[in-house]
Order: sequence, then structure tokens, then C-alpha cells
Amino acid sequence: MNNDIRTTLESMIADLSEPTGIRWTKDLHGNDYGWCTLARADDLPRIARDLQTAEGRLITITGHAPNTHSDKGFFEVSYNFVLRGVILNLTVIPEGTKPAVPSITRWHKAADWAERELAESYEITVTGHPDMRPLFLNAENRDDARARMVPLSVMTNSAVTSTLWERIMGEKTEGGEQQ
Amino acid sequence: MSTTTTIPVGPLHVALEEPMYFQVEVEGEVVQSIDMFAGNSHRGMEGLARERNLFQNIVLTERVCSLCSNNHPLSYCMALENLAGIAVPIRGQYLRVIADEVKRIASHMFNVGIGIHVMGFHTLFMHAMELRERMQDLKETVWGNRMDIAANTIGGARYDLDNDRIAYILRTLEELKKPVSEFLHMYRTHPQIKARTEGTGMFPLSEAKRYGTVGPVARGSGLDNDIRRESPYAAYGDLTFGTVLEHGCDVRARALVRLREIFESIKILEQCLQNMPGGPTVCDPLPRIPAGQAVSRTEAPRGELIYTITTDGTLYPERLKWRVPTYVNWEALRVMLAGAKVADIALIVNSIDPCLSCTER
Repeated sequence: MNNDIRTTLESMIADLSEPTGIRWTKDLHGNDYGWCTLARADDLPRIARDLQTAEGRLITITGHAPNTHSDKGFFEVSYNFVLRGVILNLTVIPEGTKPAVPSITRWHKAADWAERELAESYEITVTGHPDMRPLFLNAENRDDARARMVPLSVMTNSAVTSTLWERIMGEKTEGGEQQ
Repeated sequence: MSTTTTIPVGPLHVALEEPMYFQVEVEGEVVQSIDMFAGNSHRGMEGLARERNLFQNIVLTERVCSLCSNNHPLSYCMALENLAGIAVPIRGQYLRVIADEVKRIASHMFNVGIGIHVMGFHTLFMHAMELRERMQDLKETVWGNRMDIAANTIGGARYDLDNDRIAYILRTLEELKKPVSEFLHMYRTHPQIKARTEGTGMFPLSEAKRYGTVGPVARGSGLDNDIRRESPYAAYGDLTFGTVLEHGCDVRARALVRLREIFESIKILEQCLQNMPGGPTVCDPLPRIPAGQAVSRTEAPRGELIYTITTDGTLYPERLKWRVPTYVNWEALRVMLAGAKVADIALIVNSIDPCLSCTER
């Protein structure tokens, strides 16, 4: 069965604008791992779409600034997909002085946070992401978040009427706190 | 005038075991939408991993998270073993499974217990914690610690079991069966629990697939992606056990998956303890770890955990990255909480068994 899946993945790669091969490895339990570096970052959405159609799943995205980098750019971005137990590791090299990779969140919701973290950690632009805010609270918004805190116990213990929030927010306003 | 109110929840509150900040849009008592902000306990552990050698990182990764603390060093060691082609002795593989499944039982019992605590059913909560405590005692007796049990090393297991300890574990598991069965029956039939959990936090199968969710969150929506069966590792390929699926897609279904999985874990543990072959527990000597890339996956209590490693032939990893199950499960809350009652927020959040330590690393 794994051979069929491997063939499916190979044909997906072969259909790209600049096809490259997949190098296959196996662990000692017989699980298959495919390794592939895409020639063009632009090909990523196509294979992401094809994998989604085949009910493949994105596991994670990893940014990396390798010690020995490619002539194309300083960074590597690795995408780990799984298709019925077979792992496909796709590496994309964002090129140029303003490195960018296309977003695949449209096809794989699991890419959402990973792409935001990639952009936040490596300053790699993820083009076409639907909500490119920093993933984690940072120095700019952390204090603001805490100032607006309403204890959950206040909410859950008294959540019985539609006027509850007006009362809570009213009290905060009367107390001079920021809403 | 808009009838929608924005309520910030967190980042610090007793119902949230760890700091997470939710911005909840409500209309009256009904949640319209939520937004989430992480980052309050970011420790930069992936950066720290580059400053430590390959052996020191076993200790570091065990401290990513306490509840699934066995799966982190296990997955990390497996990634290195995949990279270097290290064959773990069969006894070592069985010992790894034993540590993993004991941790899974304790973790599942804890999550279900906290869910019941959030419902305000404190007698049953205490019962859940008492059952979980038996596994804590077991861990302390066998490994000398209640959370971080240091069971793994590169090439195998760091501990062994003699006949007395095997008998002790089997006895403890036997004693656990009846009370956990009663607990499961109580969870299934008690009207208060049913009223709070049935139909609460709905997460249909189609959404579970779309969001790429993992673990009991996915299996509570009927999505089977248990890594122990999908891509067997350690001794799981030699063992007989079932994947637990529920199709309710609600808080109740996710809790039932966890409770039923306890019985599968007991089944796995009994097979391991009764059939574990003799021999070495660890590969010795170890080969040199070459330059290269490797990936490993395990089924942590919360779901799929993946480790990816890049090495350059030195003792220090060039890049070590892990993606924890909670990381992909957070976004499911947007679906589960839409249309939910405010009073159910904590219950629904708990139902994904969230882990901030893992998420933020």
C-alpha cells in the first residue's frame, strides 16, 4: 500500500513546473519518509492543493537558517506533510533579499499558526496568508491584554442574563479602567 | 447600537491552567466568535536546544511539558535514531511503550477530572484525581518521580523492570480496571454530566479534517489518526490494541475517547509486561550521529507529536523543532465555541486538553 502512496506523491512532484525527484528513506519500523527540495517556491501551493485533495495533512512548518546555506538564499523552510502514514518533507528556499514563501493556509488550516510563527521568527514574508498578525503576545500588546482582563469566574458564575456584560463593562468604566 | 460585547478572558485565571489570552465576542450569553493570543510563557526552548549537546537535549526536551513529558524525549531520541540508523533493542522498545502508556493513563484521567471540576461536580472530580493518583504512585515507585520519569535515552530505555516491579505494575493495573469502569459508567449515565457535555462544543468530522486536528480531539469527531497504528514505532507494531473513536463530536465524545483509551492502554501494558523479551535495554555502543535531517512522530496523550532535527556532524543540533498536538488543536476552538454559552467556555477549552507549555516551548 505504501508503494501506491509513494507513487501518488511522486506523480504530484512530477507535475510541478520544475519537477524534482523524491529521495526515499525508511525507518527501522518500515515507515516511509520522502525528501524533496522544490526548485521553485511558487510550486508550493499546487502541491499543497493536490495533497489536500488526496486527504493529505500538513503536520508542521519549520524555518531554518542553515550554517551552510544555498546559493539561492539564507533560509530554508521545511513542510512536513503526511499522506496515509507516509511522510513527505518538502523544502523550499525563499529567494532574494526579501525572502518570501506562498501561504498554504487556504488548503491546510494547520498552516495558519505555523506560517505566522515563521514570519515572526525569521521575518520571512508569507504571501497570501489570511491573517498575518504576530502569533505570540509581544512587548507592544502584552500590557494592554492584561489591563483588559476580566476574570473568567465573574463570567461563568453569573452568566445568566443578557445584561451581564453591560454591568461588568459598566463597572470597569466607572472604575476608570480601560474597556 | 451593537449588542455584541467583547470580553477578554485571561491570560491569567484559575480555570486556565496556563496563561492564554482569549478575546471573546458575546451577544448576551452566546459566544459569537473568539480570538486567541499566545506568548505568555514562551521559553525559547528550540533556541536553547542549539546550545546543548545531543545528550543534554534529552533532559531539556523532557521539560517542555510535564503531562506528556515522556513523549518529548522519546520522539527526540527516535529522530536521532532514525538519522543514525540506530536499532533499539526489543526490550528497550517495550520499556518505552510501558512508560508511554502509564503517562497516557495519568494524563487522560487528569484532563477528564479537570473537566468535571469545571462542571462543579466536585465529588466525581476527587474520584478522578484519586484514580489518577494511583498512576502517580506507580510512576514514583518505578521511576522515582511523579512527572518527569527520565525513561528514555538515545538508543533505548534508561530503566529496566525486574519481576517484582512487573508484578507490582500488573497488580496496580488490575486494581484500576473496576474503578475506571465505574467511573466511565458514571460519566456515560449521570444526568448532570450528560446535560453539560452532550451537544456542547460541537466539532464536526469535516471540520476536524479541515483543521488538521489530532489526538482525542480528532477521534472524538470520528477521525482516526492514531500514530501508534498509522506509523508504528517502538513495540506498538507487535501489540494488539484498538483505536478508540467516538462520533458525538462534542465535549462528551472527547472525554469518552480519553476514558476508553485508558482500557486500551491497560491492554497494551499487560501485553508488554507479560511478553517483554529479555536482553539489553539500550544500544551500546552508539554510532556517531552523522550530518543530516530526520523526522519522528509519536502519539502523545494529546495527539501526534513530531520532532524534526537537522545535524551537521557535531554534537550540537543545527536545528531542532517540534510541533505539539495542542498547536494544531487551538484553532478548533473557533468552531467549538461559536454559538456556545459563556458558562461553557472553560469546559470547551478544557475539552481540547490544551497545553501552553507545549505550544509556546
